[in-house]
Amino acid sequence: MSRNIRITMEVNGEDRTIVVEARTTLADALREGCHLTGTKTGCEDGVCGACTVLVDGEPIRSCLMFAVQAHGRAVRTVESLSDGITLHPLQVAFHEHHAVGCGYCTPGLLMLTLGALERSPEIDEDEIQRVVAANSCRCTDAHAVVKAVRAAQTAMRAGRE
Amino acid sequence: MRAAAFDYHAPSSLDEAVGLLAEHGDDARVLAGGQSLVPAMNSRLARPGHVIDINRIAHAERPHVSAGRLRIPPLMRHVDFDTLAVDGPLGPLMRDVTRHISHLPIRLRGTFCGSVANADPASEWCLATTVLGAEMIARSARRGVRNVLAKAFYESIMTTALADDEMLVEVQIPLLSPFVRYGFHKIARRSGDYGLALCLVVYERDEDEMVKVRVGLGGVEAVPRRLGAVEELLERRQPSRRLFREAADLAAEIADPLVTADGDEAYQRDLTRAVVTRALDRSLEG
Ligand SMILES: Cc1cc2nc3c(=O)[nH]c(=O)nc-3n(C[C@H](O)[C@H](O)[C@H](O)COP(=O)(O)OP(=O)(O)OC[C@H]3O[C@@H](n4cnc5c(N)ncnc54)[C@H](O)[C@@H]3O)c2cc1C
Ligand code: FES
Ligand code: FES
Repeated sequence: MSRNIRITMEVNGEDRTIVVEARTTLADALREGCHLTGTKTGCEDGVCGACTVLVDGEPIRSCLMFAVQAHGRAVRTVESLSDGITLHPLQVAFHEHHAVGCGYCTPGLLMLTLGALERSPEIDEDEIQRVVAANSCRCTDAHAVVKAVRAAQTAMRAGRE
Repeated sequence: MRAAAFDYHAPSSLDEAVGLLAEHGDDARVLAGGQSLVPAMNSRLARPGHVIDINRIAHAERPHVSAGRLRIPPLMRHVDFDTLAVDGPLGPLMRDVTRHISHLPIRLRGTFCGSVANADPASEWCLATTVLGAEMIARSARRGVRNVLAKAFYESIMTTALADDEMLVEVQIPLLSPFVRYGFHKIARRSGDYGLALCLVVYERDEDEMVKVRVGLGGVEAVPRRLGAVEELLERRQPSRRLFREAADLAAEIADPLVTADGDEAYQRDLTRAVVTRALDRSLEG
């Protein structure tokens, strides 16, 4: 097989066809190939979680997946959360609970917690704490993030009813 | 940094995967969850010319039980052990152990077999397979299938008995008797980090005594190991705090710590004492 590969993945609901090298990570393909720079990278080692996106609904480290692996899969990034006017309940809650400092880790935290809530809508506070611990934040208080996710969980539940 | 260039292969069957391994040998690597391989490639510690992505192989995700063994296929992920994989004490044991492996995004991708093949000294699954007497099923295109016992499988740090053209196609773990009790403990710097020390204890209760005692230590030595002398000390004895303390002291004494940049030997022995004590204590809970 060749080193340059044409892939098609659904990104935020739209099919995107791009050419990548086999070694291109999904994070780079999103940022450079799809010009979606909401997804950040920090460590590129799987530790910090800044690059977290959803692939087929699962929150994963996009620095640890090659873009070719996302061929035929559905990817969601932070850009999918809002149309620029109305914010997603998680974004509203992060804002209201002061869960954002510099904001660099925020796209990763939003996608991580969205993925966790979609997998298990009724997770309790302990479990939310465990989920949030997956990503590093150098500015904000992790308790604020946990509170925000709890609030968003309630808002999302109300939205479903 | 970015990985060195490579050719990407996405076989759709195990036959095809081992065929590719036979063709490319030591220039090829299997890509399972990628949670250890990709960081190694991004930092160029690993630079395979061929990457064989097994994620598109069908029917390699679900475990099954046959002939008294839990059989774990190559694409069973860490998170899949959250739901009980099997009846009896083995299911909860595996669930308790898997919860200690890193965090949700890594657990959703990382595979059991990938951990075993990766042979990190501090891997939860490497310790569990050692203590539980697992058998690793290795397959190559030319020589077919062979079974390797855990004891012979882990050779040294990140080195296993797998040949360059072999794939780990299954791990088999003998089921546990309903009378089994177990205790697992991990000491790590932060939640979700690899452990500095891990201990898994498994034994059966016969009246008030512990029998068929197995005590495994991970993270401290180059490969996980059962501590035979500690097992003998505990065998056919009644559990007590005092006995557990004695066993932990013995473990600390006989451990052969890896010399690492950030740990001195006395500290590693202290960790061993603490982790063995807590795993033994845990075995009496619940
Ligand atoms: C931030 C972070 C924290 C982590 N913390 C822990 C932890 O606390 N405990 C822990 O145990 N692990 C931890 N890990 C590692 C994680 O568990 C990995 O998933 C695991 O070590 C490797 O599994 P994988 O499926 O991702 O394998 P890969 O990364 O795809 O492969 C790892 C190695 O095994 C080989 N390989 C994989 N599958 C096979 C196969 N079927 N046959 C032959 N060779 C194969 C590959 O070629 C490669 O050499 C952590 C990882 C990260 C990124
Ligand atoms: S950039 Fe992916 S985990 Fe840090
Ligand atoms: S808000 Fe700055 S790193 Fe999290």
